[in-house]
Amino acid sequence: MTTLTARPSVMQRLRTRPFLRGLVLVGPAATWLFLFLAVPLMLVLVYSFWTYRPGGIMEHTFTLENYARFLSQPVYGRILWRSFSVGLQTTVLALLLSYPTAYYLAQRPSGSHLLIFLILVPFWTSYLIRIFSWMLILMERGVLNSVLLGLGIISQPVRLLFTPLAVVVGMTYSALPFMILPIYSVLKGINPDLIQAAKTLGANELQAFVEVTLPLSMPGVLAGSVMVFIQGAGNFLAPAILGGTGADLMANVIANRFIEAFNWPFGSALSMVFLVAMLVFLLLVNKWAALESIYGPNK
Amino acid sequence: MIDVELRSVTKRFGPVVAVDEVSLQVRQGEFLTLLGPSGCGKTTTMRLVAGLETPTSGEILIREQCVTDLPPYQRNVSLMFQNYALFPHKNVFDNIAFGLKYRKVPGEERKQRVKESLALVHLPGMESRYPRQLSGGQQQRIALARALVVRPSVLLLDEPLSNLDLKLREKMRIELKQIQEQVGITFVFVTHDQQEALMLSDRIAVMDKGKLVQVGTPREVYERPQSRFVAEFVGQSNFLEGHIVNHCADATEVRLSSGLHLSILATPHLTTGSKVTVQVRSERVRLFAERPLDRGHEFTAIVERVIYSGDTIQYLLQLESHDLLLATCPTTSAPPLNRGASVWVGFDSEDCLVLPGD
Amino acid sequence: MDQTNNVSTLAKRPAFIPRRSQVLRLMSGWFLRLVTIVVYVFLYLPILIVIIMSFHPKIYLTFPLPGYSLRWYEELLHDELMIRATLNSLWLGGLTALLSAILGTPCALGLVRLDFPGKRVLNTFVFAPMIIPQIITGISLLILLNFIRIPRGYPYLIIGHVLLTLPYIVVTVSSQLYGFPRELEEAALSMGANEIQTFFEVTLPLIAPSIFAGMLFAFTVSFQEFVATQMWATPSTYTLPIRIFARIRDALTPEVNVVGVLTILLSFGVVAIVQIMSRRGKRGNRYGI
Repeated sequence: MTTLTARPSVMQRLRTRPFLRGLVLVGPAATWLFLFLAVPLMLVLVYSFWTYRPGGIMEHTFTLENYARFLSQPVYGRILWRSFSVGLQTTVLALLLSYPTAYYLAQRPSGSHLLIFLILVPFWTSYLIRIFSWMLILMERGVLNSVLLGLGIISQPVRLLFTPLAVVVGMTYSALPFMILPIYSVLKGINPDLIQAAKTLGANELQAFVEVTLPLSMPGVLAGSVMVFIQGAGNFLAPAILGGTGADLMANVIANRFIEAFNWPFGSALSMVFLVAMLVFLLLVNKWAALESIYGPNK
Repeated sequence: MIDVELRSVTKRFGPVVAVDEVSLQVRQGEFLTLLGPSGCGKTTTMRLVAGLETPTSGEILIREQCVTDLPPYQRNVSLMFQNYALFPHKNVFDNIAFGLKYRKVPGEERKQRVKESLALVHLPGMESRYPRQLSGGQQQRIALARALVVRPSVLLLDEPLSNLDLKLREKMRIELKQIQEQVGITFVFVTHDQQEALMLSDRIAVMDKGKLVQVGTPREVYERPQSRFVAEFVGQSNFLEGHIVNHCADATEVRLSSGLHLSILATPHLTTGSKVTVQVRSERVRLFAERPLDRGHEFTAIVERVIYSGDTIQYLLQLESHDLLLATCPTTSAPPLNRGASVWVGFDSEDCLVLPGD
Repeated sequence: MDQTNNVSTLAKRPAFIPRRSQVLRLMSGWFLRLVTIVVYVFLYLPILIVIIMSFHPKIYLTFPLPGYSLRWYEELLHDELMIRATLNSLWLGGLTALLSAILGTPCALGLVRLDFPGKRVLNTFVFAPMIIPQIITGISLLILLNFIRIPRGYPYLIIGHVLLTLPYIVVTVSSQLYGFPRELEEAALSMGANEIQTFFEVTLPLIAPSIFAGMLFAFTVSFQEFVATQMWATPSTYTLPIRIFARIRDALTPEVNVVGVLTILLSFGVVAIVQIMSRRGKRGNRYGI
């Protein structure tokens, strides 16, 4: 009996050690992410504890003044709160509009390809353009005012632009595809036999929906809602373009610190506060969602 | 010459032992089938021979060379899959010539050999077609052509006929066997279909829960199963539990748990009192309208159920002792019985096989 | 409520009073259709407005249009700054798509097929740029590269855009990889091709459609990215979105509408290509690849 002695070539080492294989495949991307996402975030944390001297100078001395400033000046807390509140409003509005739409789409036996296509086109169109388009609609000589004036419903143009309402409308509009698509895909995956079974057991349309479809669609609802909320709370463009002064959200304030004020430490502190707040929110949602699945369909 | 040998091969996936100390030799030109229920380890064993898995312990030799640490592309093996695995983005010629390309066979010879292998599987002239243009049966034949054209030491087939419908499967079975005999390449065939195994194999290796339970010719495996598992898996049998009460010179007496006494061929190696299972093949159970002449076992029974299967009729019979027996008769010679009918049942001592009690 | 179907009950009911479940079904049907129509109109109205406004003849946009003109289309063709910004965005998008694909494809392979410590962490980080507000991604990279004294401009843009588009490639490629028939690769291996040859001869050609789709998405995302990009670009490297935002801020917006029309067409094209590709592929072969 002869044994083929193989020299441990590169190929062989890769073959016998799955860890090395993983390294080769995932390594480049992982390194990129580590260097340009993880490390920067750690640096942001570090910067948040450094001192800012007027004139755009930053000293590498440890201080808590940035966080103190956030806590002591109520305007920042208010802005943080406003960001979350706007995010929530957007999520709720988007949900109210998206769920029926997604449900309708999922119900169609076939031929929803075109309709999905029609949702995807705005999805991939620049966010900037989509928000901007609402300027055209809401401005004084814009579409909405002109139509209302023309129909005689109002006698003078209404100030719609540069209000908090405009921000929410703009954000809801942009959020629609993000909410419709996950809900649609989850609804589409629900086994229609389940609904039939519920009906044969005595449930009517509404009851079947509430007992079967609604709970099963929750993962999609949750996924869409989290996405929309995060995008809403952290939104920069909607408040910047549609909101005018006083409508700033956290993203605008942070950007402002960096672009105009050059107060990087404070900007970093604000970023950290925002990230932590979002993390806490996500963890809470995670917990609640997990609880949901315990209590949910088994009511 | 032994083409494939496994020496105490074991394969673990975490805590699960998929293949348990399997030792097997496959002779050159042999058609060997690995037979067993799903999860018995037959596919894993085949993949170990192919080199798609590495054994946790043990050795694998192909043509007497140790290949245990070699990757599939350094072993001279070919594979056939259940869903053909033809490259969808390559045409038939490129599919078949794939292996030749990597064995550095020059262009002209490549063309010639592809032509020959297409002729072998009765699909001449298909070189420029694409897999999606072919039927299931045609795709499977191209897969076979692709596997054979490289002249492997062994061809490994993983339930290749399971995706074909019944009629096509029966046809392909015969063709497969014919081609194997024609080309003379060693086949290791994996299936859970015991009929297929009996029909095609030179030898069958029965596996259960990772272990090799019995290896033998189809006749041996069918007529002399070495365990209850093999007896149950291959063919249909009746199993009667009991224990040995007496040994005579040329017979052994078994008392069944129902009280019935059977006299079977002498098994002197089993002590009196030991538990045994007596196996009787259902086709060996014969039916009589009246009490037959005294030879072998005869009992009265009532017909519980009649099952018509086209070429056979099966009768489920309940004896006076409340034992249940299944009898299979060819339809042409089956007595016209209905449920509830009374009948005499008989089988010979030679047809009773003793299996260990456990 | 009696909902049984037996003849006697039906006979007692006057024919024109519908059953309760029928009413519910009808109402819910109309309600759904109504909401859906409203949503679709809501989705496309602004798009239509942008298209219509792009033909507005005046600088100060009012509605309805006082006339129609291709003036701004022409202006855009001569607008040096905008053209340069568009070119910047185009090649940045292309480069981003390429780099993202090179990093993301093996990453998807590793995530789908292998198990290694830290896999979940990696998964989180790959998709983090989609969850972390873009402004924060922007400032964090700014801080890092500034810290090691790299001046703003192209390096920031390339690094950052790859970061932002990586998730898209990983998602599209891994979703195709999940159903990928491994037997094709096993067949190739058994016939003499080693792992690398198998990858290039069998795996890659078959996952090419999803890589291509991912690259299209990456390009689109990069082409339209603003919030983080504004932290990274210098005037000579300004991308199209940055120029657009400046115009909006300065209320000089007619050309913005024209650019808007172009991005709508771009999005239309990308989605159409991807949908056509995926439908043709599924019909083509039994593996649905």
